[in-house]
Amino acid sequence: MFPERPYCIVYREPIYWRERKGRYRLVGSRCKKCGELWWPRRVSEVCPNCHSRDLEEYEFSHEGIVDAFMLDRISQPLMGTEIYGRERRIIAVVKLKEGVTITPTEIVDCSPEEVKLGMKVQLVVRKLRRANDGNWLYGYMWAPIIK
Amino acid sequence: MGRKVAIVGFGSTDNSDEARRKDDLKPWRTKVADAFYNILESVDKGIDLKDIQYVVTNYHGESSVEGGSPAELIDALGLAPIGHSLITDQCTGSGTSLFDAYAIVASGLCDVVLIIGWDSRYDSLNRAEKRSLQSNVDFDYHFGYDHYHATDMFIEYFYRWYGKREVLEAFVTYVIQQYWYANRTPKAAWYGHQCPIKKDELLALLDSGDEAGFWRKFKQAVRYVSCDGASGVILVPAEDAKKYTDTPVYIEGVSQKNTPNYVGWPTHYPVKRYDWAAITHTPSDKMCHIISPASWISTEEAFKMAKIEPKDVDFAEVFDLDLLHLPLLETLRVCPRFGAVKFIIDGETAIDGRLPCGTNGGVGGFGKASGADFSNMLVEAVIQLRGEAGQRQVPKHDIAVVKSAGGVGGGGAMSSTAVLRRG
Repeated sequence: MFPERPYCIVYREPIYWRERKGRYRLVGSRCKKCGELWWPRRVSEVCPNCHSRDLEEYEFSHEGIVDAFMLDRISQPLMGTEIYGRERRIIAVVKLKEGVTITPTEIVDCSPEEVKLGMKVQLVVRKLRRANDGNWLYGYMWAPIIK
Repeated sequence: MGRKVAIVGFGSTDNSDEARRKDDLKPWRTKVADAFYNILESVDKGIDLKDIQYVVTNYHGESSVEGGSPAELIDALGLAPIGHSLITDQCTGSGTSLFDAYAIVASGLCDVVLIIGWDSRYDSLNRAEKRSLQSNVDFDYHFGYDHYHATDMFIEYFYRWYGKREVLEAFVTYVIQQYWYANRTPKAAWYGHQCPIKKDELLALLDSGDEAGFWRKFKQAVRYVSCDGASGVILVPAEDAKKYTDTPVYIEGVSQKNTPNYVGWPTHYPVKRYDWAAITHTPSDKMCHIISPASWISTEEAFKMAKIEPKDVDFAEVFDLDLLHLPLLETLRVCPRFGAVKFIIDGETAIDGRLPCGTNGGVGGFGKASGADFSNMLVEAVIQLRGEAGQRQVPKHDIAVVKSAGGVGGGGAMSSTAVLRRG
């Protein structure tokens, strides 16, 4: 028996499939003509910098720093309630060495009190919800780097 | 620029408590028709329905109504078979409608064009669409993150760049002011609602370290009303305006601009052709999620078209939900960059201030029907310019700016601006 879905979430399986590389490995785009990097990937396959349509995949760094964060204060549930419960989750903006920011995203594996601006974090992929066919879908999240 | 354009009719639905109680009985077509007939009634010398040649309308998008087509709405208004453009551009959409309608009249293509912005929040078939952050879900997983989360995250940046204590004092000051204006606007959602907070008491909570207590109390006041509604105006060439009214309002400048809508783009959008930091007067190390170049470029273009300077503007209707009006006020250059907080705390947006702002109670106090946000502000600006605002009438009312933003990229990926002048 699959968990009951939150009433408010739309399920778009084809999008999850299309975007699996970005979602699981932070694959964005690199323009082969001007070299510019793009996150999220340029879905339109147009480089706004030079207007080339010759783009390739680029896997961004899996480490970054916390640029901003907050506790979820909204009463309606985020995805993954059936996994993570109704605890207030840490929503964040993570900045990578390439300069891009990943947002919205989450900080996991630490308490809100432990999160600090500039804290180093690494990519983790965690369960998000069940797909309509029952398979697990995952999302990119970030955990503190433990030396 | 083509022909000069004037506004000769204006109107909106009633967002007051009593009117909203009937919302469930009224589908969006009724609301649009209510606004339409209110607009027609406002035309002092009358207007023949056959004179209306074209209609431009807008709703928020993201399934905020059950969908629609140009034909459905024209039929609803009984105006078939005239032309109609239907726009969805979120909170700034009816500003986009104004831009299109202006172009149609200025170009000489049509002489009488109706604009209506509307929204129906509760007829949505697909409520899930409202929860996803924009329609561009291709490239993100959103895990349920929505506009409200985005606004919360913006506030984190506001705290950083403006100072937390200052931001919250400005927020409280502005909300109290919104109640003041709304209680003098019979159609406003907050009309008849006394402001439940006192500034000194709230700030005392903050200063004593009781932030939770501050928010508990403050949230009793910040109850923005999201509602169904519609509003709009009628545009004609300036040379024809006096046929319809002795008090037309002229559109001196109008602009609509767009920059990317991905929330995190301002910190890394390496389009070399644009110097976003310079355009937004922002040090490059302060580029963050509340910087919207679209807002700056739109204001600049509208001011240039109208040949005005910030000192010429008498009052403004600015998209003032939560704190998004801070950077929008700054685009008007009535205060320094990062100076909007002080501007508000000093009372400059109150009726006796330098730039009265949000004079119908603001977006949330008047009643937020997203597709009608810009047109609600536009209608209020017209009422003020004509000197018909009663107890909330601003003392100087020759030139007004209407300024809106929509989307979440940079706090306003899309932005519309209009400069209006009293006839």
